[in-house]
Amino acid sequence: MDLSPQMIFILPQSHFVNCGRVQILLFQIGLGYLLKGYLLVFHEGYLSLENVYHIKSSKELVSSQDLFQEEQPVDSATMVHVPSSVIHAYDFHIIYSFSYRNPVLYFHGHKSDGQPLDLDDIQKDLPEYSLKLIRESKWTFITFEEHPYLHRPWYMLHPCGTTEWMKLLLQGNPSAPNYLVSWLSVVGQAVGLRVPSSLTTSCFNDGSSSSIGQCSI
Amino acid sequence: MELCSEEAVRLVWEGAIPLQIHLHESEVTTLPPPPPVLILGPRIGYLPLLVTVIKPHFNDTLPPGVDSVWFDYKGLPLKWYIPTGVLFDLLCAEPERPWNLTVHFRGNPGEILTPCGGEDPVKWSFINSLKEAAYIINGNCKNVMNMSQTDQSELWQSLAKGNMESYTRVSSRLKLGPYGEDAVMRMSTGRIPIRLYLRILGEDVDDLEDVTTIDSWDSISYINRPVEIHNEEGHYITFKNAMRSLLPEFFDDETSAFDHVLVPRGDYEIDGDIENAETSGASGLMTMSGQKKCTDFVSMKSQSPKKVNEIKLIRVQGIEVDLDIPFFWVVNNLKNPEYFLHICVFMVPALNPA
Repeated sequence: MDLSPQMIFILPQSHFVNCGRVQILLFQIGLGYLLKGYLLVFHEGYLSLENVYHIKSSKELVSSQDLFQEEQPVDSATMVHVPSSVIHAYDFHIIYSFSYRNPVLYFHGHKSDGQPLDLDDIQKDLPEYSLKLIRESKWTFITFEEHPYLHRPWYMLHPCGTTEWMKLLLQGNPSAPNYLVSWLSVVGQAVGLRVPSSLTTSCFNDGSSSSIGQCSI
Repeated sequence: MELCSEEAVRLVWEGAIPLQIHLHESEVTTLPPPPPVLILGPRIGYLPLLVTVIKPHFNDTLPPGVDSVWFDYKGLPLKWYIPTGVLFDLLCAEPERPWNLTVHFRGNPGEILTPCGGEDPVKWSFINSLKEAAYIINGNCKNVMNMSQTDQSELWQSLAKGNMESYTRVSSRLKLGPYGEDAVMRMSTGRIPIRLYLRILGEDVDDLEDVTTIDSWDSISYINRPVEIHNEEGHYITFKNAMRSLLPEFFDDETSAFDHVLVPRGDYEIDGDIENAETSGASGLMTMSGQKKCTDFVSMKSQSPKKVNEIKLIRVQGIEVDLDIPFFWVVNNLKNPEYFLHICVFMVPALNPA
């Protein structure tokens, strides 16, 4: 039986450790295919990618390792050469929606002084095509919604077209590792997150049949 | 039985909560302070829609500043995107009439409450919920996405103004019901949009009058969770069947829902029950939720393993619904205009744990 997208979200953490292909997916992301140095962390109920930094001069989100050299102690904030006022830190949560039967991207951001980012601040960080979409459909692209687990206001990317474009992307092959990476490669672009093509390619070439049978639980 | 009773739907549309709205003392700049406003808040409406009526009463006493209106009930900020009737059912275990609310025109608590700022956010919250419901029912949102601007506006205005005829005319074009009609069922996925709210009442609550007030949303959990309208044999289910699929641990075929006492499991593994995970209901989801902020009956159990909860009351549109009536009848007649059925469930610690 194939791992459907929702199953990524309902498998307890222990399943992840033991489930070969899903583990590989997370390791590939964690070891730097996606935003060097970031680990997609599984919380029970959602996946999170936290403290992704955005530097004003660049239109791309960068990893903390680009700012803090890896050999340095983690707390050496003095290594930052960018004025702290222009650094925006984002948290992304991927939450499975039982209504849409798809993952949905929630995010929020804050400035270096801890102040939350409002939509005006966030728009400065978004790619041009997202700004265009926001202008055209202010209320149906990114809106401020309640986080289903934290019950706090977060920004949400509206998911209602996801099923259609995912069908196109996967061409009828909805196995889990392909699914999540493909999904993120499209959805991430809307907020400036990039999934390198090497990751999606390796997933697509990697066959399809993840099965529960591979789990040694 | 009729699929959908116009009388029942009309009662839902005409249902209203008598509200007594006070201006928060920090915003009173004149003496004597303005008297509270008495107003009927439609059950299916949203609190910000009342602001145009309330504001003239308080306008002269407000301090300078820009409006960011929000309401609280005994200090608890009210979520404006929850329909007024649901807030009342959920927060007033024992109905309080008039319902005393406090309005604030300044200082929205942005950390816990999405700012509203007028009618547009309410309208779009409604439309987006309608889209979500359409997706659950039909497997896509095309009917809602393809609505003309005129229809969309008329649909919203009919809700805002409480015009049931206009609403019925426009919404019938969305082909989202009533359930039980063959033409509709052929198009649909057989899934029903449900929003489930769970509130745990304190210890020793024999009488709802003894329920203490809520000071934080952390003691309430709520989720959107579709329910199948048919059972595995293709038969329509009862309201009790639907509640069992949402909260399977609290129902048992051999005892009534209210006699049954849940013995908590020792751990919160999903027990290899992966295939059934989507149908395992709301408690399955909450079993997974490890967030301390997301208080629910499962996490309460994990904090005190010997404590068990049972269902005290299930309330829809202010009514304690008979568990044996057909589920599609409950949905057709008691759903809100965005096609979600909002169900409030009150839990109490069980008196005689098994």
